[in-house]
Amino acid sequence: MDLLIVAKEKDKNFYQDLDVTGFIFPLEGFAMDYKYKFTLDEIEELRCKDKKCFVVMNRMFFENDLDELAEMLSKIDKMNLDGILYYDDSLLELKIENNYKTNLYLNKNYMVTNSDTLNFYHHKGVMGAVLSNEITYDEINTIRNNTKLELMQLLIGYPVVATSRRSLNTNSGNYKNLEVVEPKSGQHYFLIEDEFGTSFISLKRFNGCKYLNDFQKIGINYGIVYQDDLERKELINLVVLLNQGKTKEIDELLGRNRGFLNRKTIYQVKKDGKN
Amino acid sequence: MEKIELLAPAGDLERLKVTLLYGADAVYLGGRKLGLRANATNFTKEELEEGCLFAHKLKKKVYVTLNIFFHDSDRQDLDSYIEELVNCGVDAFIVSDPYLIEYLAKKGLEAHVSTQASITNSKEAMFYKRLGATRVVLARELNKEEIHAIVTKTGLEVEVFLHGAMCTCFSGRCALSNYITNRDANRGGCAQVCRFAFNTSDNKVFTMATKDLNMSSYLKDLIEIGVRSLKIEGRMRSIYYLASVVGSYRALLDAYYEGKLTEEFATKYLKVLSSVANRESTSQYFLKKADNTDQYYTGRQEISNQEYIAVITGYDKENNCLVLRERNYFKVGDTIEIFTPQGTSYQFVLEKLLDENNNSIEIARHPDELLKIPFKEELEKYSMIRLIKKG
Repeated sequence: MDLLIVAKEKDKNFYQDLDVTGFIFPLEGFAMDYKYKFTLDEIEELRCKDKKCFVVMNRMFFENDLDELAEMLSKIDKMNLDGILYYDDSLLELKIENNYKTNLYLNKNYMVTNSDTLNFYHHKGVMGAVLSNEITYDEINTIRNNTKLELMQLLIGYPVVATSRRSLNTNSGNYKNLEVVEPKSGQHYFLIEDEFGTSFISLKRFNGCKYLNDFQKIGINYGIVYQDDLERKELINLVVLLNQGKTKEIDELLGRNRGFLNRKTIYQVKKDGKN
Repeated sequence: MEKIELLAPAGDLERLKVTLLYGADAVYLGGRKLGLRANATNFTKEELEEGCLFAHKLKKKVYVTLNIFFHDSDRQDLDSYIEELVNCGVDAFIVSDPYLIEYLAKKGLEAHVSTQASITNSKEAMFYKRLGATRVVLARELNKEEIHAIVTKTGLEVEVFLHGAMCTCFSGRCALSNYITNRDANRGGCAQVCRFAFNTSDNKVFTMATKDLNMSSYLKDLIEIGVRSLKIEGRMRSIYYLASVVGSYRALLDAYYEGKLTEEFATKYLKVLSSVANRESTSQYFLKKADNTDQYYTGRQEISNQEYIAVITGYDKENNCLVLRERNYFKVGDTIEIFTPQGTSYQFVLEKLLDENNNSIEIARHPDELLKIPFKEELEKYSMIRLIKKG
């Protein structure tokens, strides 16, 4: 399984020296749910020849955005990037219409949950998908067994939990970036607000490395690691540990929150009150 | 010119009948599985058959939701379930998964794209049109011009929300319920976490609960920009709420098409809509990006509505009385209003009230009690009574 780092630094040397397969760059003006974003020029500057380069264009696009979106896709198509992680199917529609070569990777947060839908997108020309964080390891295994497209899986990072078009922080008289806690569950969330709306980021870092060997065995193509609040040294160390498969040491560093990998959600509360 | 469709929710068979009788042109509902209100009563196969028959006799339609984000285990028996729904007589399916849209369209079935897919632009709508969707239910975050653009550029039927509760986040782009309550928001278990109160690091309350949507002042705009269907939210709402909201919009729309929609006419129904609301409402995104005036900031704000006092269940011909089942407290001397599915209403001061044994009483205290009110004529089933003013 290849490692991809969600970029934060603006230092080409740092990226060049990191022993990973590639990087994911959230594109300024076209990505949301990310604290750190990059312009296309910065991405062009920072990309490394022997490393893969993906951009994120995962925000919702409105009618007035479509011309700019088409223009950006056209520019990107000349850059020979490894792929675009996208949410809005207008990108797929534009790719089909204009015969763009750049590969698309489905990044629909909570919708990437079953084999039929993934095979459907694969059939339409989508190269791969970022699996939802809210499915179990068994479900991931089932998807892998029943699909052929490239699969990306979050390995380490603070998960995105919700996205709103509303400016929730400033509407309530707060600063643009705000930390809140839900009192009953004790869960902390970071709300990032930008011109496109507000994103909720869980402040309980997800660490799926316990399943690293399993992901590799079943054929998950890419593991995604967010640098987030890790310092450079910490990230370098983490990459070493990942490459050596030292999952226990990673647990000691980052905690053992496996998210939903080993926990099913429910949606129907049974009449006897039991779940 | 085809009139705009008034589409209303039906949480169960009784609500389906009330909604259609009060003037909805179509209803949407959940079957026994795969809809986004997993904890609503929903419809059994037999209820759905009866509901479709009822609707079709009135020349109206029934749409069923299959709009969850599927996991592989949900796919089991899907084919037989769809066949069951088709055999019950459903007219269309509301779906958020593009795989399923194409699947249904290839079977010659009508597929509408759910708001859960959060369609926000014409290119995205065209993607679904190419799969065979005939209608798109747009994201609730669009303004008038954006809606119009999708109508004109795609040729698809466009459905928009007209009235009811709003999500804080993009539909389908929220898993707050998953993380905080372990209930899957995208498979019908949403716990409405966006209405919870959070705390900031300096111990202030932070909430993001939205006010409701109310587009009653913009019916003309919605019709003129070519919207095909107006959707009322609320599969879990009471029959009183549905009767009041659907009846009001029916009256407003009919008046518009007859050239009789005056300010005075509209005011009466705007008051009814306001009176049944349990939250304040705004037009949200229709005219501008939703801002601080479209939310609450001091925690959950819902008002309990006590004005629904009875539903009429029959007529005692011998004693010339309406037979009714009480829903909330009322008494002799109160001003009440009886309203019917046909749109007629009768407002008067209650002078006499009887129990089911024809004994005079002063006060109706017990919800679900059978009571009688003298009245000159029999009224349609599902006529209801609301309290106008306490005596």
